[in-house]
Amino acid sequence: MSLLSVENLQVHYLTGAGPVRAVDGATFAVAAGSILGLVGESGCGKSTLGRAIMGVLPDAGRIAGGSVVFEGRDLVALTESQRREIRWRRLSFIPQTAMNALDPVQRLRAQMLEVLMERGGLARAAANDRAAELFRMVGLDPVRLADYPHQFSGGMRQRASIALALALNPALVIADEPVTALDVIVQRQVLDVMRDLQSRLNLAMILVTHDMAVVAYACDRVAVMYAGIVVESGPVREVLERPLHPYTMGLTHAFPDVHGETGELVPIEGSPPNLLHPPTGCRFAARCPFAQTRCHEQAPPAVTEGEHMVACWRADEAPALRKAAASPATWAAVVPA
Amino acid sequence: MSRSGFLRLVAERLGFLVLTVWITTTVTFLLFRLMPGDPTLAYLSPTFNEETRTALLRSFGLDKPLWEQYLIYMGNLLQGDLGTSFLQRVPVSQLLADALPNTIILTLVALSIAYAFGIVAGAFLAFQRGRGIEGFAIPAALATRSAPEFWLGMLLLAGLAFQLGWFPTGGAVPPGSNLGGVVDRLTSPEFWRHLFLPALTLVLYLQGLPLLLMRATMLEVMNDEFIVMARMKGLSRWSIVMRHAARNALLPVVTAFALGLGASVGGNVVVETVFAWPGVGRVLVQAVQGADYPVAQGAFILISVVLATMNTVADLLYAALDPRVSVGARR
Repeated sequence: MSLLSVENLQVHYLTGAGPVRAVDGATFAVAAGSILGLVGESGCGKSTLGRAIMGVLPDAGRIAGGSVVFEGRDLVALTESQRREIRWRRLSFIPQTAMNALDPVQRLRAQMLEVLMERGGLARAAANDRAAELFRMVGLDPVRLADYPHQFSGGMRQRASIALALALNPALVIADEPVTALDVIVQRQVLDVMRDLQSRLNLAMILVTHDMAVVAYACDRVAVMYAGIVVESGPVREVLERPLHPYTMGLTHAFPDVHGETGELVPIEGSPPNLLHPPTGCRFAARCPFAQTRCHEQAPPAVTEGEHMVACWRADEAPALRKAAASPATWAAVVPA
Repeated sequence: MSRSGFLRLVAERLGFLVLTVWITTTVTFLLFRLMPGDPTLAYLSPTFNEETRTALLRSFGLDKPLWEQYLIYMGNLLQGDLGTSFLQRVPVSQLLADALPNTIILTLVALSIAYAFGIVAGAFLAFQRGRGIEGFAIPAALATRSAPEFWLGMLLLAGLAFQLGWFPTGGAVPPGSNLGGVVDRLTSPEFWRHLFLPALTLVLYLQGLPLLLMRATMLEVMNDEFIVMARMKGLSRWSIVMRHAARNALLPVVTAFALGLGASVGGNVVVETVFAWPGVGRVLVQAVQGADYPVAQGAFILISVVLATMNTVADLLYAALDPRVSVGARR
């Protein structure tokens, strides 16, 4: 059984013009001790999804349907105080910008001790030892616990955020674009720290990212989101080598190859649909080079074969589509409305 | 912040303070000597003959060239000698030393209450954002903040002193009794009864700024990523609000407090006059009315020194409270 299974989750932002369906039917699962990559372009709902699982949405955000079953309990059905018990102890979070995620006027030690003592129930001495141990684990000198966040570099702040996230031995860590704000070399270092700790501590992790290279480097499984929906998911190798959804095919060509093979990068033209009034058919149809009439009229159902899930009407023609998708001309021919 | 970095900052700000005080005292010196009108006329009777007049001018040193007068003035200032009052024939420094504690007590009491109330109410209102209470509380805070002090003071006087007779109408002690030393005043219930109305007027007048400032910064801080993270950590509401949000939102309010303290010493003129409170403001008003130039000059100097000092304190407080200030470049 999975540690976390998200079933048809819907998250809406209430606006004056009506609800914006930021997440509109997301389904995926995370097994204990594995890393799931949650990938998609800006505005596809992946960060919202991460925050919804934590149960800390912005004021206008509401979970409008679906379930989030974590360690056998549906988080959506819990009361706020029950959810608060789980937060950070079983389920923690690494934010995108560690810059603002740390309190600027408190030393790192105070921020570590706060979590370890208030949430972990440790005595001060034990908490101090644990804080030093956590800093060593992420490759920071415990002396730096006496520093303020602004005295840290971006990479160090992100390491400190990881140390904070691991403080109470959670079962699952959600990392929201943890390396996006860092330069490439530091990205690699931070990813290595995360991967190393994940396997040593047998953590499960959701790695939210827009970067296919990060997914290929760090993840076991991947879920590809488009316009609030998970359009394809499965083991990383399987999905990256034999993508079934045209959007995934496009994404794999839109990023430099992880192993440094220089192919031509091909953009996916256009931008995601307005989630205030999402289209009735497949949400990717307007940008898809293989869209047919049916795609525009009816949303494709999710089909699972083995461990590989996809929501595309033409999934059975995937080998042929992949061949066509490899050619830049195919994508250049799409003129989005 | 590192200790040596902070000490260096203190030394630097103290240097600026000395410079500021020197400039203001110099400007005050020039102001009083270049003003139209002859200060000696207030002191000298027109019935004096020319000879007596010249002799008196010489005794004040007013026959010497300006630069020499300036040097004497600065020398006296450094020794704490502010001259002698024309009207009361006592040293100005003594007049001010008597009045200053009253002003400081009034200001500190009023400002502390106003800020304690403003901070708590402002933080509370930040949490009530968009609810009905906002529609009442914010206009109320704004209205009392905008109402002229003398008008507020007179309303309170009319209601609580004249109509109901709960409080004395003015002064710091009952007529005829002696003011006594600072300790005597602070332990005397009569003194506090006299303090009540002027302090209340000031509290009403001063509470708006910390209240609105606290509310605004609190709303801003509550949207910060580290507050979202504090919620994700499952911290108690108390920890989130007090340790993270209020701690960060307080920074500008603390600065405003120190500045307000400095400004109030000079700015209490209106309230001290309405309630006949024997403070620096009232001394200044009486000196101006009576053309008592040495006293007016001394009061100006005192007020500007206090103001400059409190500005320095505000600077240093901010540096002590916010680790990001001034250390960035020094590390």
